[in-house]
Amino acid sequence: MPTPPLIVESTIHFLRSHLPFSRMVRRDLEFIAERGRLGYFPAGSTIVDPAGGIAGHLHIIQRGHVRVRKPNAAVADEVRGVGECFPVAALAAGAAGTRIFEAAEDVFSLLLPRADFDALRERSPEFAQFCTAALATLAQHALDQLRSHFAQRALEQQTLLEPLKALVRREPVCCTAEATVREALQRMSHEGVRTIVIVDSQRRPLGVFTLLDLMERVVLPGVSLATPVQQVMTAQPAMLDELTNAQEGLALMASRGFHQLLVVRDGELAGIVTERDLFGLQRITMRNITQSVRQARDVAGLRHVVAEIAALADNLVAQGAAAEPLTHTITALNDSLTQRLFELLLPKFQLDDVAWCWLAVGSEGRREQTVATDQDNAIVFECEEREVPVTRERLLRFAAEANACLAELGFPLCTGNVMAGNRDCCLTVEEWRGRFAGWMREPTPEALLAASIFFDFRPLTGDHTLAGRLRGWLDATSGENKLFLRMLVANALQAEPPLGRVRAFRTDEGEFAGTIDLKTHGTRIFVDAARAFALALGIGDTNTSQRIRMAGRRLKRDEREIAASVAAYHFLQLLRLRVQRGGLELGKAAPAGVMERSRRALNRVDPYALNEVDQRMLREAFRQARALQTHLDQAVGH
Amino acid sequence: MFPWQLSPMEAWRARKLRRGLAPCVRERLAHVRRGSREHPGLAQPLALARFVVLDLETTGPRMFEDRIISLGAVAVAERTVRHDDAFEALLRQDRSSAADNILVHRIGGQQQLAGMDPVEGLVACLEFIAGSHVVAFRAEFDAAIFDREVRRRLGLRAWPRFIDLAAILPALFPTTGNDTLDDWAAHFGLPPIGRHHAIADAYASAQLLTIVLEAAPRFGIETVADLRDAERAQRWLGRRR
Repeated sequence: MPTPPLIVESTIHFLRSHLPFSRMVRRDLEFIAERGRLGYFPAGSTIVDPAGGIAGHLHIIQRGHVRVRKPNAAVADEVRGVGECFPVAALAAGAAGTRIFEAAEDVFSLLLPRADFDALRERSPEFAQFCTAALATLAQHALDQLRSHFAQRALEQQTLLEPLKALVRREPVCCTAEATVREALQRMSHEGVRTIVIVDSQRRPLGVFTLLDLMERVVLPGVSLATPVQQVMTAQPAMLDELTNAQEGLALMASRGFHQLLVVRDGELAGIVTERDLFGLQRITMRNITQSVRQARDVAGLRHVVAEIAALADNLVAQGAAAEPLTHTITALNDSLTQRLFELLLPKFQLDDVAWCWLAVGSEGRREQTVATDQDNAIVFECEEREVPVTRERLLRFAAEANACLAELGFPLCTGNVMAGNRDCCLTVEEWRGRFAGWMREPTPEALLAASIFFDFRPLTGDHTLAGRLRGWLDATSGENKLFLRMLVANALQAEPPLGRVRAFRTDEGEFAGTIDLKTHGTRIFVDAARAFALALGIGDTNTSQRIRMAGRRLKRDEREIAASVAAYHFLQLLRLRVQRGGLELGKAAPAGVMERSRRALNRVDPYALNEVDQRMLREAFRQARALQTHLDQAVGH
Repeated sequence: MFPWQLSPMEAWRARKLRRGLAPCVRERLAHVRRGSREHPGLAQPLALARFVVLDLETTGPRMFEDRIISLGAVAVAERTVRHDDAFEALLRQDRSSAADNILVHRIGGQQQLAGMDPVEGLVACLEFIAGSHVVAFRAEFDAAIFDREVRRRLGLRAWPRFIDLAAILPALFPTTGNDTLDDWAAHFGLPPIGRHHAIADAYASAQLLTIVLEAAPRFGIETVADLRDAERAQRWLGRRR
C-alpha cells in the first residue's frame, strides 16, 4: 500500500524549507516521505546514544530542540533545532559516533532507517554532498551572501558607474580605410595591439580589424595582404559615447557578445574598452600595485601602496574570491612590499658578504595574512664562529631599521617582540636548531607558544638555503619527540569551538559580551591542529589548508572530509576578513581609545547579528573544527 | 466466541450475504479470519505491539444511517508512526445512487467512480488491521459504524475491539482539560497536515498514540491489557462524572 498522498505532501512541505532538502529533487523527497516514520521523544529522554552502537535512524527534527553532549560531560555543548539532522557524520561513517543526543523539550523527529539513509546517499548527490561535506554546500551559500554584501561598495569603487572615458587606457591605434592589410598589420605590430580601428577622414570609426579577423578572413581564405583593410574589417562596430557609464557598456557587450567597444566623443574615435577592462578590473589593479611597489623610491612611496592593498582585498572579497587565493594574494603583495623595502634599505647596511635570510613567521609564515596583521619575523644567518657576535650586531642594526619601517608602513610592531630586530630572533642555523630542540625537549606552555609561532617560518629575502636546511632538520626531528607531539596535540585540543549549551553559540562575557572571538575560538583551532599534523608527519609546508590536505591524504582521510575541514577554515577566515574590513573603516575617524578597543575587537563577531545562513555556516564551521580535533586526537594523540 | 454470536435471523441474513460475495473475496476474508486467530493477544508489551490507528469519514453523525465515505489508517510500530505502513480508501457510494448521480451531475458521478468498491475497501482495511490492536479517537462512534458496515456488506461482525484514545489521554494527562482531537493536537504542538480528512486525523491520532506509549510506563502501563484497563477505568469515570 503506497503512503497516502496527504502524508507525503505534508512531509515534503516540511522538508522543503530546510537545507539540504530544499536543494533536493522531488523524487528524493518523496523517497524520504515514504520511508520515514515519525517518532516522539519526551523532554529529557535520550534519542541517540553511542553506547548503543550505530544509530538505527537518521533523525530530522520536526519539532523541539535536541541537546548534544559528550558521554561523560554533564552539560551539553550544542543545541539543534527544527530542520536539522543528526547523527549525520556517524551514520555516514558507519560508526557509533561520539556524542549523545537528548531531547531538550518534547521532540518529534522524522526517522529515516539506516538502510534508507544509505540508499538516499546513493541516489541523491545533494544529500551525499551534505553528509560528508555539509559545509562545502553551505560555504557557497555564504559566499554569495558575502558577495552581495560588498557588491554595493565595490560597484562604487569599481567605476562601473563612472563614464567609459575613465576606462580608456591608451590612445587607440587606427588607420584609414585606404590602408592595405599589410599596412594595418605593420601598425598593429609596431604598437603592440591586437585591434586596429579603421576611421574616415574625420576620425569617425568605420570598422574594426583584429588578429582573429586576420586568421579567419585573410590567412585561411588566402586573401592577399595587399587587399584594402576595408574589405576584411568588421563594419559598423559597437560604439558608445564616452559619457555612457561602464555598466551600460558591460550590458551591451554581454547582450551582443562583443569583446570590445569603441568609445566615441561627438562621433569621433576616443578609445577602445575591452571586456577585460570591465570584468577584469582586478587584474589591472593588482598589476598596478605590483608596479607601484617596484617604482617606489622610498618608504613614503610604499606607504601609498599599503592602502591600495587594503582596497584590493576589499575588491577581491566583493568579487567572491575564496579565502585561500585572497590571503595568498595579500601575502604575495605584502611579500613584494617587504622585499622592495629591503632593496631600498640594504645599500645603507652593506650586508653582501653575510649569508643571511629574512624569515616570515606566524601568520605571515603560513601565507595567511589578513590586513590587520602584526609583523612577525626573524633572521637566520651563518658565518665563522668567531665572527658571530659582530655579524649579529650588523644584522640587528638592519633589522631594527626594517622593523621600524614596516611599522611605519602600517604593520604594527609585534607585542610579543617576535621581530628580527630582537636579539633572540636573530640567530645562526645552529642556534635556531638548539632553540627548537630545547622547546621540543621541554614542552612547557611558553615553549609551545614559541613553537607555534616560529615553527611556521618561511624564507622571504636572502639566502633561502639556510631556511631550507632548518626546515629539513625540523621535519626529520619533530616526529621523533613523542612527548612534544603529545603536548602539541593537547594544546590543539584545548580550545573548544564555542557551540552553545542552550543557545546555538556560546558567547563571551565581559568587555566584549555577546561576541565570539573568531581567531581564538575559530581559526586558531584549525591552525594549531594543522601544525600538529605537520610536525607529527614531517610535512614541510607551513600553510594551514595545505597542511590539512597533505596530512589528510597521508592518513587516508576521506577526501570530502578534508574538503569540509578546509572549507570550514576558509569560511572562518573570510568572516574574520569581513569583520576586519568593516571594523577598520569604523576605526578611521574614531578617537584613540576607541581605536584601541576596535583593534582588539577586530576578530570579534556577534553571531546572532549574522543572517541565518551565516549562522548555520558558522555552526557548521565550528562542528568541523571539532571534527578535525577528534581526527587529530585519534590519528596523532596516542 | 462472543463476537460471532448472532441471532438466528441475523445469522441467516449474514450467511446469504456471504454466499453472494465473490469467491476471491471469501478467500481473502477467510485468510484474515485465520490470521486473527493468531492475534498476539493482550499480554503483548507495548513496545512490541503493532497498533493501527483508524479514522473514518462518514456522511454524517448518525450512527445507524450514515455511510462511510473514506477510511484512513496508520500503523504505529516500534513506537513510531510508520509512513511506509499506512492505508487510505475512498469508498464508492451505493451503486444505484451513484448511477443516478452520473445521470444528474457528471462531476459527482466521476468523483464517486474514483472511489473504491466498498466491499473491496472494507476487505482491504480488515487485511490491514489484521494482527494488530486498533486504536481510534472517539472509538465508540468509529467502532459502531465500522462494525455495522462490515456486517451489512460482508455478513460478518467486525471483531477488532477498539482502544479509545480520547479516553486514555485524560487518564495520563489529567489536568489538561482537552476534549477534541484538535485540542490535544494543539496541546502537544502537533503540526497539522489537514483538517477532518480521514488520513489526516488518523495521522494526528497516531502521533498522540506515540505520546501515550512513551508516557505509559510511568503509570505502570506495560502491556496492551494494561492500556485497555486504563482506558476502561477512565471511560467508567467519565460516564460517572
